[in-house]
Amino acid sequence: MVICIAALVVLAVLSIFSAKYRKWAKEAFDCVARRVTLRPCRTGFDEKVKAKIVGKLMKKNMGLARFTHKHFETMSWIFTIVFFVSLVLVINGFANLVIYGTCDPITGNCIFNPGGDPNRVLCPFEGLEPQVSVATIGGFMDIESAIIEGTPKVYFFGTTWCPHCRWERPIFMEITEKFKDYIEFKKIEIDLEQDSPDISVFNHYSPEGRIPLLILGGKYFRIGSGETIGEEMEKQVLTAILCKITDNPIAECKSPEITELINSI
Amino acid sequence: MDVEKIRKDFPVLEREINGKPIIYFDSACMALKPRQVIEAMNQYYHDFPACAGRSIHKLSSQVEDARQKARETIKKFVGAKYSEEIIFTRNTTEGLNLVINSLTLKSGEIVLTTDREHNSNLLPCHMLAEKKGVIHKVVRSKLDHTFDMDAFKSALTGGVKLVSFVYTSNLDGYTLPVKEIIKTAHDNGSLVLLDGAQAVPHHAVNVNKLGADFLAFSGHKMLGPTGTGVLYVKKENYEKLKPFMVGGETVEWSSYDSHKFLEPPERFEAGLQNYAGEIGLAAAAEYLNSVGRDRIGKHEQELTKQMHEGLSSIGGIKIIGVQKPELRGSITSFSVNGMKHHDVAMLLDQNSNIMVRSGQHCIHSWFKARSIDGSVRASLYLYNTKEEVGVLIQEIKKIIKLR
Repeated sequence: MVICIAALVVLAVLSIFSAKYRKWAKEAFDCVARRVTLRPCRTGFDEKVKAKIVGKLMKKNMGLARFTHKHFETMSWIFTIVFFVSLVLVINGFANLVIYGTCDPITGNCIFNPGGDPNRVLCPFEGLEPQVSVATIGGFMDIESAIIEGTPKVYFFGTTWCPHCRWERPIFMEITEKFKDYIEFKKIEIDLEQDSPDISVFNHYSPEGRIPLLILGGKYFRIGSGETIGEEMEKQVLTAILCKITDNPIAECKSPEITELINSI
Repeated sequence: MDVEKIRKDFPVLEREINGKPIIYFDSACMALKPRQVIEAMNQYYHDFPACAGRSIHKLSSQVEDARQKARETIKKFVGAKYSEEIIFTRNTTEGLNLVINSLTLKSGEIVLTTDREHNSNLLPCHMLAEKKGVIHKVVRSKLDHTFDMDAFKSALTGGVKLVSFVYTSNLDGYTLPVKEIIKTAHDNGSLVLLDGAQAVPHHAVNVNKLGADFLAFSGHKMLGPTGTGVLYVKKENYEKLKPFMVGGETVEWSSYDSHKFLEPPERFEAGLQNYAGEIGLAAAAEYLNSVGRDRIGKHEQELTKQMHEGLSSIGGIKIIGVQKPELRGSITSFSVNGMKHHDVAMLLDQNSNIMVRSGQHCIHSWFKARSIDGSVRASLYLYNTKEEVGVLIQEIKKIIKLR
């Protein structure tokens, strides 16, 4: 039964491309349909799959064949659970790719790089020329060649509907408020302000249109919210970077935690 | 018997699947077809694909002649006295249903069967009981699964109108003591209907010598085409049958409120018949005659003995049904302890193209009564060889290691 479910999905996809698999997909469907309605599988599809696998293993390794024969049902369950978990992750990643332009909009990392390797340029920025950036604290990117002149400009680009923007917005507003005398802050809701002259800045840093986009002094930027590091840490990261670009104008910049973070930038 | 020469007559045996030849051990379900049968059928479709009887043109006459010749061939094949005793049917099931439904059995009368009947013989009896109140009684086998003549005799009473039983069992190939059963039944005034599906293809059956009242068998199990069968009806018993399927070709004339039936066998052959099939079936009978069914039976016995000894030598194999191979004809049913019968069958097919049947072989009642899930059934025929049986035994030895 179990193997029928996984086989149905795999074969249904394969049968789109090759007629050879359509008969099997139909058998798998029949098998699943009958089993879920508490009737025996008419075609013996699960038994056929088992015989095919065990038969091949018998020629190569009798011990493995015996193990597979005895534990086929358990193995089927494991395979099916792993298969469906993978399937959900892939579908989620694909949906994110379509909606946000990245497989993981929260961190900006790819699903295959969930931890965010600090030595690696994050995947949403791969191929982003001519800016050459490296990862720094809190998932922010540092355009090493950029120089901050005059009053640093700080941007928040988001949309009213984006849940990650909603999470980030109050935190970002709260921290930037502390530096309001030392920065030029702009908050642009792209869905409401499509004609804003600052859209060109957004397009430059996020050419694929991904949000939320945070730009601090034109040198540090991040696509995605700080949800993965948490609110407390996000506040510290933002404070540290703002301290750095404004030459530590407020007392908080001298605190040991912020100092340590500033040194890590 | 030159098996290698015989094998050349069967085109399918030239096939290879995944680079290996076919080993066909499922003849109890469906026998393979020799060229002679295929060509005889093709000749009908090529040369005279017309209606028999109802039209009077040249092609029609040719079909009618071929049909009558086929009927004559089958008459001789089963040792009947008259060709009109041969009714063409679709299969054994239709023949059995035809007799059971055409006999005018009344409520309270008894039909007796054995405990190893195919569903095709058992279910019509169930229906008789449900619809007409006929009593269906079952004669149990002895502990060694052979026929219990004493139990049969004590079950026979004046109320038993029909004894309907399997001639050779499709479970284990066991052939019942038919002649003695028929004599005993006749002494009681009961009619006898034989399910000859597994007997006629493998034994030289002579209905006249047996004294059977009715014998039903299939063409597809005796090298003939699918959808063909025969019902033998002893001439004097026709008057006891009232047609239950009527229509075209069964009447001389009809009016809005009346009709006159044709004489048998036509009155029992309603609608357009399977002419090509009947011609092919006759060709199959001629083929079996040319080889000799006694020789075929002997060949199968040798192979069954080899299979029995080979399987018995493997620990964990249980032979189902009658144990003595000399009583089992061409069928060996077995189970592998700790393995499902379908798994064994599929592995045989997967690994070596060995084609067997697995399950309860349409005798669910027998398996249910004994709480057995099913069996693997290897059934042999004239084209099987000792080498093939050897391969089966070797494969079973490998498969059993999976336990």
